[in-house]
Amino acid sequence: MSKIVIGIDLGTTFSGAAILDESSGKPKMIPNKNGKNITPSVVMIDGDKVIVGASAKNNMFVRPNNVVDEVKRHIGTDKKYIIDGQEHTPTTISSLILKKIKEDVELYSNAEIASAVITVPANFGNNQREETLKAAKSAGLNVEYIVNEPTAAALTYAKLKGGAEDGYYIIYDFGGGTFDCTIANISSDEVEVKTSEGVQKLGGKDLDNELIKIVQKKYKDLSGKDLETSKFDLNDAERYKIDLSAMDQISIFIDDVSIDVSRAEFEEAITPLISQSLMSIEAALASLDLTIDEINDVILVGGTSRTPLIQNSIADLLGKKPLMFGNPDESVALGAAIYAAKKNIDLLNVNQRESIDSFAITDVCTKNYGTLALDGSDSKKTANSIIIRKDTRIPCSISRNYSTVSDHQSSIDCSITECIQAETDPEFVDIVANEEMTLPVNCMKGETVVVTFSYNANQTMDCEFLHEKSGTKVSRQISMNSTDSD
Amino acid sequence: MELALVVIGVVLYLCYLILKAIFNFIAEVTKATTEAASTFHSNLMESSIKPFISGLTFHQQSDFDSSVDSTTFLDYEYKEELVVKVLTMMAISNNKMDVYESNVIKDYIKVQMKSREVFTNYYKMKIDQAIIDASSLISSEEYPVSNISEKFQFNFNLDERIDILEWCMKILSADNKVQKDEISMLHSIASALGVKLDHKRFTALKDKHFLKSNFSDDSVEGLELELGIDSNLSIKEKKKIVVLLYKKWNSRLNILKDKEDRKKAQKYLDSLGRWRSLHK
Repeated sequence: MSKIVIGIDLGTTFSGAAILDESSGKPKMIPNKNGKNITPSVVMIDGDKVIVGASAKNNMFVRPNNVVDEVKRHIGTDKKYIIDGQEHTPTTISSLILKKIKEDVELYSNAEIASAVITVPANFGNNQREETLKAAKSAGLNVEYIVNEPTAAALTYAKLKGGAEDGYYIIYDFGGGTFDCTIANISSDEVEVKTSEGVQKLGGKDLDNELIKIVQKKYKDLSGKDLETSKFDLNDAERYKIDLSAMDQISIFIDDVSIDVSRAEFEEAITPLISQSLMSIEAALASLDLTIDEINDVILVGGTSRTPLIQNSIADLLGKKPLMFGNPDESVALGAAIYAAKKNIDLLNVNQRESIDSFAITDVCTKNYGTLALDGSDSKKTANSIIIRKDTRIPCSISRNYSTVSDHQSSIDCSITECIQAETDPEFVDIVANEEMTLPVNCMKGETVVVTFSYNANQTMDCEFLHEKSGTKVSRQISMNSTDSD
Repeated sequence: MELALVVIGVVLYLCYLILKAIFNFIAEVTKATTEAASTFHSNLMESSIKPFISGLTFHQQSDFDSSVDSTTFLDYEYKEELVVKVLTMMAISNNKMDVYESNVIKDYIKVQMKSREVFTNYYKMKIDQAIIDASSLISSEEYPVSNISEKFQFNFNLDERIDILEWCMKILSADNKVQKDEISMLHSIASALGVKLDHKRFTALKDKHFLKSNFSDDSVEGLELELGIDSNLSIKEKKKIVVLLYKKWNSRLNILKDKEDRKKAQKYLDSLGRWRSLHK
């Protein structure tokens, strides 16, 4: 059996897989068992029986206690799903989706998956990435790398859009459950990611919920009764939302009540949500000290970016229409396939290798990494001290010197922190690892402790706390994307 | 024999002194439970100040009466009097002081007492008097906030002034509700204390305390006030601040451990989205 390398877009609402075509070397989607390029990320568990995809989605409101959706929004949290008395976690549910993808790919290609790359939102934290990797492992996939969704979409654009003008592009990725925006410098043979911003709890589902609220209110006004959830659910909302993208007004019939909803009404309701995505663009531009005039184009990714209000809002901001390149539901998976191929050159055939050989990808740190230390002021409060700043090009290695605070100090707390925004308050940072270093006897105040964080190309970070005088040290490896570290 | 009588006499005298001291102490404690309400000219303090006075001091109600005006308001012997006056102003900025707010003032005084080696009834009386003076003055609608600037900047360093503002924030969020008047008062006090509204530590403390509270005003003006956006800025400047605020709360959303805190952070994001949609 031949071996293949695939890219997987594990989405909030849909998932899909792609591969580099054996003849052309270009990325292409792998259809599922039903012939569709994307599979709903919905799981139904009925006793021992597990159904993933469209059938599970169809049962979402018929058997709500047996169906789980939007699991990606909860991965890395302590959320539990109790189905038929059995406890499931977002990680175990995600692994069922990945298992289905794996089976479909193997069935279609009649090949063994040697290696896979999975995409995650750029603003996913260490924990969420770790849990995604655990899910992949549990599904029987060999995943050595994870790639950020907008980076994957940028790769697709760079690879498939021949003759694109070199320069800065914004990748606007509005998916079903998350929103990401990345600024990258793209040329025909290189994607250089500069920065990413994102909103984890902003997606097409939130827009659907706004439509549900409008319908519920109108139904009550017209009938005097509350609208039961099952009579207009998220599936209905999604369908009518798509209709509203094409029509100025729609009519919804529920129990002989005719409810008219205009696009203007819907847009008024979703404007604050779209504004959040625009603020992410502005934040990304501000962090690079760029103006919108310096951006070549905005590339739309994710199904929700088809919404007319989104396209018009970006056009207002950019001064020209954003680019809808290919199928926005597929760009991420296609880019993941390119990334997977790039990381597994040895497993490619000649055509595939030629296609990506000269192609370069550079990425940046999507978070700030630091440690906790006394802030040096009179108040002597513990503060977060950043060592590697967000948007630092990787790989990188940065050291900072600290000192002991009292005579005969016996130990120091070696914490590794993570945060998107540069925070000083420990309450607003995530402590991803924590260890105590015992200091030698007679350690005096003011002795130097060198803290070095090295963010490696394989997406791991080596952290070292060194008491310079004695050579005592604590080393720890943190995994951002890789399975091969602790 | 005579010596024995003298010894007995001395012992009896000592017993008398001890009993008298105990008796006086009990009498003082008993007095402490008496109501002090009649001495307050303020009609807003009556019910809430009672537990404050009886819980902490040993003085009679007649000790307290306020003849202070805005010129003598800032006279003080102990620095803490000044702080207590400011905290009282903060507490009744929404026209009433509830038990949660008065508890914060009590906590402040307890902390000060712990750090003082000697504290006397006189000290306690002065602190009480400061509360009466502040409440009296505010009830007569004189808000001497702007006058405190010089005294505070002379007596307290910047860190201490921000500590005072943190006590104000504790009062403000004591009942888990934040009102427009309270935020305005906090900002006025901060300005008077020479602390800029965008000072890093001040902002950080405000974030923490506001996160635990519900803001009653959902208007755009209310939102700007809650988030500390200077209403005098141009829309362009406000937009920049809103983007920074958005970045901050979006980042914190996934880090906050408490579910209610996350809800509040999400509310901030939604509100900022709403603000941005009104200012295209």
